[in-house]
Amino acid sequence: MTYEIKEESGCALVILTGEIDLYKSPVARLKILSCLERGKPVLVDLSAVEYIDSSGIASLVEGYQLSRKKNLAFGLVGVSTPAMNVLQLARLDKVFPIFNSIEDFSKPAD
Amino acid sequence: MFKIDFQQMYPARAEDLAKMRADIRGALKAAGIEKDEMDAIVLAISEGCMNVIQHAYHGLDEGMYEVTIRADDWNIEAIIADNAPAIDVNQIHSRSVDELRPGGLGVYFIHQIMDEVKYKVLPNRQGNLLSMKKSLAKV
Repeated sequence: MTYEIKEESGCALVILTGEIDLYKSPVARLKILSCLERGKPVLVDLSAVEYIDSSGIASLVEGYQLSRKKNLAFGLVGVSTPAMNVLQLARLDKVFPIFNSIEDFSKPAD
Repeated sequence: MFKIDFQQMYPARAEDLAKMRADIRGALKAAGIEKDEMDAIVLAISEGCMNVIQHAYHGLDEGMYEVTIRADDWNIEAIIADNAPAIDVNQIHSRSVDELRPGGLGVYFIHQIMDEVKYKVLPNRQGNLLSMKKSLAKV
């Protein structure tokens, strides 16, 4: 797995690529949580994720839980088919907010 | 004659899981298993191997485990065997997904994907065995 973090519209876009597994998920977890700890809303781009296991899902859950504690927005964008299949297996596809773009994510709520 | 007859040993280290997955994907793809089904089977086997690494060998980067996969046209069976200290099979639980918390999804995934899952301690407590079976989608 590789990652890239872009800051746009006051948010952190965390782009994860490749396989998020037991070996690599600690990096994903660290990057997501550190952006939230810095007060940034986080949008995780999963469009290039080819594989995610229970440890990768756990990293997303931790991010979501911390975002709620800090009253920051958290969401997913571009969820790849392999990632969506695992989110559905975990019954989390309706829990995480999923957005079409960072523009939709950073739009103020009506 | 099996459609898949795969057996390979791997070091019980997280960094070697990717190679294990690539190897079993190769075997499943060569047998013509369709992608979504292949992804699910790979996930279940990898989650089983993760449990060996984290719980049987306690994440110490020691030891080996063996993955065996046999399949015919109708069913696939994967067996993960280690020679770690015997685990207490009564401690293995699939948790409810109704509560939102980070950990404990691996066993749940295995049970959701596979039709039959069995845990066994090997004779003389010389290791553990996880067996999982699934019927294959008809083509």
